[in-house]
Amino acid sequence: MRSPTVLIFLLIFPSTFLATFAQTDTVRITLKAISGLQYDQVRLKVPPAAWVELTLTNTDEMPHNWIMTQPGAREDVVDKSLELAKQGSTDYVPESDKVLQAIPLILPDQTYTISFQAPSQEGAYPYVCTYPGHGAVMYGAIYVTNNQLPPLATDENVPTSRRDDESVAEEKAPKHPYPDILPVMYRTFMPNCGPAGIAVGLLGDISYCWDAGQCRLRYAWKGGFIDLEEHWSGKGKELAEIVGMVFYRDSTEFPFRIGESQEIPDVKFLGYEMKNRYPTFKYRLNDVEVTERIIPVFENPGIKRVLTFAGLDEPLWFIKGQDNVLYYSNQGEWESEKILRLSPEEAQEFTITITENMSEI
Amino acid sequence: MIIIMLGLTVAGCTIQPTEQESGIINDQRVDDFYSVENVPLPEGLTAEIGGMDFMPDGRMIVGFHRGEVMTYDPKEKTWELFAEGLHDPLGLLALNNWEVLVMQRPELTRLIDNDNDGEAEEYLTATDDFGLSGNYHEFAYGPAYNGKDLYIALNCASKNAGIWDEVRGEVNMLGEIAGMYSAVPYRGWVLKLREDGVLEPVASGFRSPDGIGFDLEGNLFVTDNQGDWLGTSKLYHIEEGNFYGQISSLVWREGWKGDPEKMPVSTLDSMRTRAAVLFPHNIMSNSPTQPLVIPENSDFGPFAGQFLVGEMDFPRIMRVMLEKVNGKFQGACTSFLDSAGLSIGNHRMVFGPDGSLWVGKSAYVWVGDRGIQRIRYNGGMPMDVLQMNVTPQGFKLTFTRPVDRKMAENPNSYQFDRYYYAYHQKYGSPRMDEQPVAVKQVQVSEDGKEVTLALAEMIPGYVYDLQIDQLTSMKGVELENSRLFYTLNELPNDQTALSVR
Repeated sequence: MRSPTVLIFLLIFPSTFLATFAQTDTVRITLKAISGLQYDQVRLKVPPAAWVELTLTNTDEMPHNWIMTQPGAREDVVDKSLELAKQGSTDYVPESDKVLQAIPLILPDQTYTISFQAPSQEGAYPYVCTYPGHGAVMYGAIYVTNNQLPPLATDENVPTSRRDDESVAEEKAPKHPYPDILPVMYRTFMPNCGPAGIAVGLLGDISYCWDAGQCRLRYAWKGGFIDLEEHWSGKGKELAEIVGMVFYRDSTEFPFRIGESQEIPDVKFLGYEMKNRYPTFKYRLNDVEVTERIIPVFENPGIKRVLTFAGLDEPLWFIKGQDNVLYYSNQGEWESEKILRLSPEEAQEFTITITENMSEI
Repeated sequence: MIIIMLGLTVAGCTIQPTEQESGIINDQRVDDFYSVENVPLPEGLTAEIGGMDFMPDGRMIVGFHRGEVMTYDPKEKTWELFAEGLHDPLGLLALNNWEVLVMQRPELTRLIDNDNDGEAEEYLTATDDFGLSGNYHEFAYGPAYNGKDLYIALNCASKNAGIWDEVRGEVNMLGEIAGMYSAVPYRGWVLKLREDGVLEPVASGFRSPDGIGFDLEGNLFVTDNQGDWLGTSKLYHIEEGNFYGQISSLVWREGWKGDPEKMPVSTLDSMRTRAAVLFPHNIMSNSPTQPLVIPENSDFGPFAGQFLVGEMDFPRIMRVMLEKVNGKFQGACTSFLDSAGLSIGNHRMVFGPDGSLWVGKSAYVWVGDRGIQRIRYNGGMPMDVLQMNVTPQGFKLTFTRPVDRKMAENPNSYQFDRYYYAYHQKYGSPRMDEQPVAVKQVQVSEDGKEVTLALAEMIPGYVYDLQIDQLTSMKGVELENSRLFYTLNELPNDQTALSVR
């Protein structure tokens, strides 16, 4: 019955048909519940009376649902769901004519698809997760309209935190209740480092990453420090972001060897002492107590490592971690292009300076 | 040293404490007995609290999400920076006026202010002898101190992220089960740092144990959050060697072989130690935090010796009433404080020298809040259930005030439901086999403070959910908290087996 009608219709009013077809075609929407009590999209747009196929995937670690309500009924539905929860229900979908569509509670990693026809009445139809506690922040709106959406920045149907996707205001907020001062040190999640990472920002915008798990300097960079906004504003999953350019990376298995053995020493991190805002790391390599303080050098940008090894009775070897930088040590002898040998006496206190090789640049 | 004082100009800028963002009205009265106020905080502070304690000299010391540790002088209302740059401190213990232990992600750290200038110079590693996979969900909690050893609790990793290529500690992917997992040593464990510096595994089976504390007798208790293998949130009494239910941590048991996921659930169930108290999900608690015991002789009302437990999702602090039945702890939970000025996100708590309770808020990106609130006891005797004890036939309720005898003697004043929570891999559990239980007999003691209820049936393994309706004190004081949840693991063998605390 339908096809011939459509065909005739098409022959007579081809442009009208296209418009009609667009309205009755299914709008497919893929929505995600994501970390941070939010949906990945806070505004959806569908034409009035359109058929909608909406798929919700829960990529978060807690259960979420999705309820579409009558315009302006979001808070009321959230309150009703909470009442329901208190009475013992676990689907959190209240029986109410204010609830238009619902995807029941889905667990982490689950997906659920529903199909429905959008209301013919234009308007902003809120959607919300009514899992207890989530409703106050986890919501958005389906705009049933063919027109443009209102400005995001003032859209009351969108959580405040999502009205400006660039979060410009947040970046300008102070990091701490005191001014930023260099040097500065953070224990944090650093890229290209073990999970017990340390970042230190020095004067002259020279910075380094030290690994408290492996007890070693990992890399150094210039031109800035780190950005921790992402790390702090989430659950801590995002790593610190390096600001600047890495000029040195230790690519050895481990930069020190003790005695004739070629074995990597056992390491134990003991902590650090802050003096004038510079940390002095304390650690143990086998039974040898080591301290390390790193200060910036400026002529050729780089770092000077001030090291003490107490209680050595065998020589110490230091292995270069990268070729295209300059190394200088105030003690010991370079046995080869890559290896510095220090006697126990020399190793009691020495410095290794690592700078960019400006002639190579 | 950076000093932040009310109205003083420091380092070229004026830093004034501001009211916290939650918009709660100052000095709002909870009722006649407790009041809540907001603590002023320095501007620019992201006040998500991971740990708080008091130093002997009366300064409060607080660890914040972005790694600051700050001291607060309650008299002067000034904040000072004690330490900075820590990785997500989630527990803090003041040893004296110059030494503080802080549990941060990678280690337990001893902060020492050697020159007494109010700022720590030494950050010494007290222990880092546990695994760290880089998974963001591996939070670390504690330490709880019994005067001898320090106890910490380690979170499992989240399925929402993997582990890093470089980890600290041995990797065992058998610990990577569905749900939260333990791929590196002692994730999902409670551990003890002995006086000799050795970190010793104590008990396994935890998922997200964001609360660890001792009672007045030195018994250790830990809370855990609803999720996989936890039908609802719980309070456990910790005993050495025991397994508490979340299965991934089993792979780090000494001599353990095999995949815990391949074991029958009935076997796992028989291995686990049941919680002393269950917090029914959505009704009582969605995310319990620190258990803090009310000190003896404290000026904080009638509940000395009982635990308060923080709650993240509701504007609530809970109260736990424990007893030992057949040698095992079990008991009831109820509200201590609901709304009335208290905000959500109740993460860390500590009693100040004046006996008031300080509550630190947190949210991360879960449900929660920021800031610090202070709860004071205004004196007087609230009408409340002081203790709920099991009897072979039912329960005995002890009230803080004599009850209105006529109301109390009416069996319809007590509505009991009972249900249990399933032990399974699935996230959470509905209330199972939920049934009303009739009250057969009511007996009110001569002094009017004790009400003994005989129930139609008492089945171990169930939560007994009691709603008290229409009951006031003899003098007409309204009952503060009328809903109680008793976790019935054990029925007393006989009356003498009861040792009431």
